[in-house]
Amino acid sequence: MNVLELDDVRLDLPSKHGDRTLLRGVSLSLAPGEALGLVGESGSGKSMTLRTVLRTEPAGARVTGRVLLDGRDVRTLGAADLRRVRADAIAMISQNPRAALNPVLRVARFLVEGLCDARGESREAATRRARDLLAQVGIADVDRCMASYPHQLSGGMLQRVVIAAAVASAPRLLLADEPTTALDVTTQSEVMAILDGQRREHGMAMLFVTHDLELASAVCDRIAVLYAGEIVEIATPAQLHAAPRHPYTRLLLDSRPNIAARVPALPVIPGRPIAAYEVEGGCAFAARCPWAAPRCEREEPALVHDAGRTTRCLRAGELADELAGAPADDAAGVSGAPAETGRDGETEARA
Amino acid sequence: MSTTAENVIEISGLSKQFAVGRGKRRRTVHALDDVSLAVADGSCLAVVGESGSGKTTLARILVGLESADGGEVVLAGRPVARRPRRAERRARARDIQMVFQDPNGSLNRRRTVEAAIKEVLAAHHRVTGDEARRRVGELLDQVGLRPAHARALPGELSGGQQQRVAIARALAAEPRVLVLDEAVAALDVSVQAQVLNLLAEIRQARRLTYLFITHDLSVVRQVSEEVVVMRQGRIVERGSTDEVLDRPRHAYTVLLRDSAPRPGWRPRLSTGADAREVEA
Repeated sequence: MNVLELDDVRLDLPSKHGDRTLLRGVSLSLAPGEALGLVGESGSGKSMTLRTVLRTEPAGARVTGRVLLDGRDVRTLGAADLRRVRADAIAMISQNPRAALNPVLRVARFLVEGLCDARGESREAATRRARDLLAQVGIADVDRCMASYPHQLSGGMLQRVVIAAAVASAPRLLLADEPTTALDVTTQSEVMAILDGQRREHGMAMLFVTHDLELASAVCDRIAVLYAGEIVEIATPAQLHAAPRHPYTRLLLDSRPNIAARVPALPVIPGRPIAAYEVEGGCAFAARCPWAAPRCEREEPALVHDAGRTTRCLRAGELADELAGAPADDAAGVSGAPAETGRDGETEARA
Repeated sequence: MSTTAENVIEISGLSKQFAVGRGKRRRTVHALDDVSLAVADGSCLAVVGESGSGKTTLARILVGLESADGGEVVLAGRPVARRPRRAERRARARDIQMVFQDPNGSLNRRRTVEAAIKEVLAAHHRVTGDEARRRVGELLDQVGLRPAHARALPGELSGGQQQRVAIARALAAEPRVLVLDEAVAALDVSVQAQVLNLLAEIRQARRLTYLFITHDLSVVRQVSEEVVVMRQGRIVERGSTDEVLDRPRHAYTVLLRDSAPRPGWRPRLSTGADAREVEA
């Protein structure tokens, strides 16, 4: 059974301009231990999708559709059950680790109290485990970290503490919302390596929200690309890079500057990303799509599963070859599926 | 740096310290530590570094938002006084303008786009009335906005449009140098590409000099001819962009390059990258 299944999740938020649709029917599934990236630009609904799982969407939002966690609909749980799910089954890592920690508590107290509350461990046992956890997330000076207040630690250190707390209860599902966006690039690399390693070690599934297609490609088994409140394509990172099936995915890959080579002018997607409530019938991307045909403005494309690929584009079939044509030299750089290039331990074991 | 062309910026031995913390924990941070740099007229120099590298302090000293503790800045042939008078500050603003990461923070949300740009035209070039309105139209056209945007408030514009307004406003002063401090970092990928192309066109059309401050090596490759890499207030490497990115010499440059996600990349634990364990 899937750890997580979203079935036609819609979200409408009342505003002074009337109801605003933020999600237009998101469906996805997550197998045990699988990492799925949710990639999109601002307003695409990636964070909002995540929030429907924890039921932390904005007050007043109307959500329809089902969110199944191990087969149980999170949306219909009572208060006590919801609390239990949030404590045991799901862990969340957000962009700002400072928001996750109490600023007046030392790290030791934050971790130990969490362990005592959630698992009913004794203080000594919880302290021992907290120290183990910090060592696992690569903190060299555990004593010093345990004795520190959040403001004394760097963002990268704090995010490690949050990861340690998240894996402590060995949840089935990890929700990560831009966990490294606020960090420096070198720190991002370290924190992602730790998050990836811990996730695999504990066999957790992960829903990973990011605007960075390359970052998602590095740590996810599959990637769902969102545009205007709906999924336009789901594929493995290798498939996405070698042969994207949705025009938006192709353009997203091309418009990012390439670290390896300069181009005379970057390929540009005209206009700006739109929100779900700005879609006026037909394909949401049609107005910005260089491949749009007249029918794209009238007919609304469905998410079609075909031969291992999932795409929402009326012209997906006819465009497949054209979209796969490599514009830059990036397709060559993609190595095998992420599972093959796992933690250091795995690679060594195979070698 | 090129010595044949005229240098529009010459910095030598620049230093800046900040005191941080209180009581026993009080200490001095060297935001800039003996930084020397020359920027050739009409070139684009990228300044790369992470937080605490001093790249933003450097920019703020150049445009006069901060004063240096030591060293010298020569801008367009004129030495910049450490405590400039009003007239000198005005003159400097005509030489050098800055675009920040967050356009929201640099635009007054109660003033229309037109008012924001007119203010700069009046202050630096005494252009008012119909002439000012005409120039606003030209500037908006150059940054890819429509005439109707002149009457908009910043809050009615998208992030990419706001950043275009910030660029138009900086261009209104007709500077020789544009300092771009993470100016495309907050933009969506599809909008970032538009603004990067726009900046390249403007530089060519106006023969501007750019100081492009960024943490993003992909952006560096795309926009700049030369690059300096900064770490903890010092320049650790400099050279042509292709040379530095393809054959980095300093270990920190290698680390920066290897940390940037790209096809085939995997996140790695690298010893010593996260040296700022506990901020004492």
